[in-house]
Amino acid sequence: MSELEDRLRTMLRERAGDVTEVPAHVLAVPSARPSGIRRTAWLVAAAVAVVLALAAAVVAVSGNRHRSAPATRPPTVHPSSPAHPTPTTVTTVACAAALPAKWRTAVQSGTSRFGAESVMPLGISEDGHQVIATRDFGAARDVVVIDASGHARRIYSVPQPDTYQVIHASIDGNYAALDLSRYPRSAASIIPSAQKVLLVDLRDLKVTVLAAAPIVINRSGEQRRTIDGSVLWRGTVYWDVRAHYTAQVADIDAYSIATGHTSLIAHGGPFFPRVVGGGVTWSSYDANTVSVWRTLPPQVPRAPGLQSDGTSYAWPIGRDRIAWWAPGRRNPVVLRIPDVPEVQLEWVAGPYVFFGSDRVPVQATRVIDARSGATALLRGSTPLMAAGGSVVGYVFTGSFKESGTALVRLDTSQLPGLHC
Amino acid sequence: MRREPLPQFAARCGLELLRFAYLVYGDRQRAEDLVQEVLLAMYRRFGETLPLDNPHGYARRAIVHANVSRSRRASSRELPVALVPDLAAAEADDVAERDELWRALRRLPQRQRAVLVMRFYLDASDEEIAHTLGCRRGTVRSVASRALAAMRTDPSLEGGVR
Repeated sequence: MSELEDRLRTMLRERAGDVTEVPAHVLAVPSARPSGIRRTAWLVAAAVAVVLALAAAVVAVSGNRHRSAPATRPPTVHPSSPAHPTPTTVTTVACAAALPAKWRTAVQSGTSRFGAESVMPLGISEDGHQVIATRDFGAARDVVVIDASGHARRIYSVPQPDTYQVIHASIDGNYAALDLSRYPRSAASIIPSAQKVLLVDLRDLKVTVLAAAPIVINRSGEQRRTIDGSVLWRGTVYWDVRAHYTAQVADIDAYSIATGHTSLIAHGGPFFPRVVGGGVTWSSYDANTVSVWRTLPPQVPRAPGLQSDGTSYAWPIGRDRIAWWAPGRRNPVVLRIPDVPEVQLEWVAGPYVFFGSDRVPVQATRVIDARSGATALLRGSTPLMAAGGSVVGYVFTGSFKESGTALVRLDTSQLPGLHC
Repeated sequence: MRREPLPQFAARCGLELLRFAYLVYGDRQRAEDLVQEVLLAMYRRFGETLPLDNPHGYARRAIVHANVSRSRRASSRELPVALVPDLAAAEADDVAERDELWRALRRLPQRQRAVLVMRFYLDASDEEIAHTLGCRRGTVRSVASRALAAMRTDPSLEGGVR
């Protein structure tokens, strides 16, 4: 045997020894498989759904034939609800409750780093089934889509990962929009803007660059053309373009996946487009004026600060009350939160409303069960988004450059209610 | 024919599969993704119980082939854009980069790498390697020969290795 072969054999065994364990998510295989009958039923159901969808599309297309081209119009959705409905409401005063052990267990079992040193959720699909997150391995950085079973699928590898990172992402159907930003590991601070707005087709992982804004500094030390960020919502990618970094007004561009056209749809800003409870907005956080509304039930007002996970709705009323409504309820429930100077509504998932206040400790969120009014403190984890009854957030792990995070996912339909 | 539950197989062979994928591909995270994908593919195909005499061999073969398809796909992933590129950064970890022999192995084409890993890490016979790759034994020998020749002439290996 040659010297090279000997060295190869030794080196390969040493390298193999570097791998001492398999992350749990790698070995996690589903515990049940649809039976043949169920598969057939699914196929029949899928075929029926396709036929119905095609029929609906034909009807929609024929109904819209005389309208102007969608790519050149702002995709405005007119709200179905009045701006100030006056429903008869039920008022409940919140009461303090201990967080049930099953909640704590669910947080622990729903926490994962997905094989990375750090993982951060960036977006969630409207049905709550898919979470898009960025992973950091210390060397490589990538973006994954995590399905409801917890399987993480890499959809994008960040090029030059010591220098770049994906800072925003959103997912909708077969597509994901990513904002690739300059984010050097050693940087004390960064310009939080997108150098590229990317659209990833999740079926074949083809990446299309929708817009680009390279970092170019002008004579006064200011960045020229700036894209703050993008959001993909219901088949359209929205992003802002400002003439320079400190400009207060941006153009809002929209790319329609259906037509493949990009059009200027508004002058807005100075904040980048993002999805809120009411739809898509590009106003300031304080004003929170929705620009593209989703259709709301009549019980739900077009309230600033409206939150929704698609299964329920919550909106602030005054400084110390939150209203909550879900399909099947005749009227909204108004929850009065005593002893809290100002309630900051964050998220709603099913019957649970998450909120903060200046009396909530750092790294904690309060959660109220809208059915009972019971309020508990959720420590350690920070919810970031909610959809389809799922809440997704992160916890600090402190294991990676003192800023490592793990993703937390809670399916609220599996959690016991809160009671005082 | 043996019938082994998939979770039991995953627990029994997961580590070896991950090591194999890591050696063939040279990237730990990609190897984890591959093993995960292969286990899920086996689940989709066979369900909870594997009706296979050699599920380990099946999984290994799936890793090699999934890996090939993935590397082919990756080359056409991103469209070019008029941005000034920074210097390219290696994706592998620092420890890996320190080892010249490891780096030289990683520079080989994927098929050559797989053959060397199977021959020198798994001590697999040419026949076993041929079965895994889906080729003839003669092809395995020629691929291995070309791979070793490429490594012997790799300029990064100081003074050459015979």
